[in-house]
Amino acid sequence: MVGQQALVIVVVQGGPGDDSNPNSNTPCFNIKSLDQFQNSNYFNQAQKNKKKKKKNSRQVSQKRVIKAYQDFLLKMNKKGYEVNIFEDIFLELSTNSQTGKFDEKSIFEAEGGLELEAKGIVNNLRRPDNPKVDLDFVAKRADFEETIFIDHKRMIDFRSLSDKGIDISGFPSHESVAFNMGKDSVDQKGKFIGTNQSPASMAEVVHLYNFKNIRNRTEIPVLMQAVLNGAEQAAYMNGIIFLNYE
Amino acid sequence: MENKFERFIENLEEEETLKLGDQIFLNEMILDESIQCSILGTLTFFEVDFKRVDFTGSTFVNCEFKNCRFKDVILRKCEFWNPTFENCQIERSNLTRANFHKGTFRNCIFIKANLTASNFSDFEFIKTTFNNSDLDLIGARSIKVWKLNQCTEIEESSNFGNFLENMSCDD
Repeated sequence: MVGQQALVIVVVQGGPGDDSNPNSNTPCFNIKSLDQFQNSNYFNQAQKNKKKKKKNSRQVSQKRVIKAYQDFLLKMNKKGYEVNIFEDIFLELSTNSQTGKFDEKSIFEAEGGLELEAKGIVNNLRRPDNPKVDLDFVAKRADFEETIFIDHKRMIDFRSLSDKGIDISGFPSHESVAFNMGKDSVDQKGKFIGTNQSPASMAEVVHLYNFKNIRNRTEIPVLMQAVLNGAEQAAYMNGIIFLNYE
Repeated sequence: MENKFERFIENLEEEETLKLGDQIFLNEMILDESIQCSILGTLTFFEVDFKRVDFTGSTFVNCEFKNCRFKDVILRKCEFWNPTFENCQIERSNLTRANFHKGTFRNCIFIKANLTASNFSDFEFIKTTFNNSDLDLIGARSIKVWKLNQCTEIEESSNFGNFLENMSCDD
């Protein structure tokens, strides 16, 4: 279905797009009242908050990334993998190529990509040369030396919210999240084909599904199957790797 | 003005991820925060200004944004489940590779926003416009786009951005 487009036009009167309500004609934006802006306390408070935030800045420091690197090495050791990954590589891969800064998401991506390297599945992991090819990594397949592009997907566990007393009864099931991930990833495999230094075909794009955050480990086989079912429904089941499912 | 949302962030431990739910935030201003990979469920934001907030890789479930402004906000690789955006302005913000499932943008305006390679499924756009925004490679499945009294249904598209661009120009 990739690349195909089907349009069906239906004209309906008086639906959500109905203009009969004069109040709904134009978007209404958040404009603070004049009093609010004229009130000097308003700005003072904002300034105070800003100062406070600097102290509590959540920007990721190099120290934090080095700690993540050390934890990663320990984890790989524990799993029995012989790791030959240097700190500077970990730092480089943990850098968001769009901002040039370290961030949590990039650290997570680096850990998954490098675990594939530790497992001997890929070599020479790096960020794509062309930033328009918006996939996490490019690497060489260890067996055939072919270039592949890797995208790392994190499975989310909503139970971490219910631990905090948050009602998750209206949330989608983990299974439906996994199914959608599998389905959407097929479209993503085809997205960047044809761009400079991009995958030549969908076969060159691998999706890595990481179950690290799923606490109920008995749930994982069902989620793996849901990913496969989603991919099957989108008619392309190749290029799927599971991580931390043991 | 109380900034309840920022207080939650300030109370986080150094490496703790923000996990938040069942809250209403009213008339707040959230500035210069980096809260990547957060999990946010059943939150209502009413008249909240987000400025230079980095939500990269966060998951939003059943969240409502009403009369909110997003300026220089990073929503890259975020997952939205059942979101409602109503009367919102999204300006100079990065939504690249964000995924939106089962929700609505109503009376919203995107200005110089980057939605490249984002994905929408079971979604409705009602009187929502895109000005000078990057809409390349947007994937779409089961979409309804309302403009005035006309609804266009899109079953599947791998270049939905072209359609949105045309919808925004046709006045």
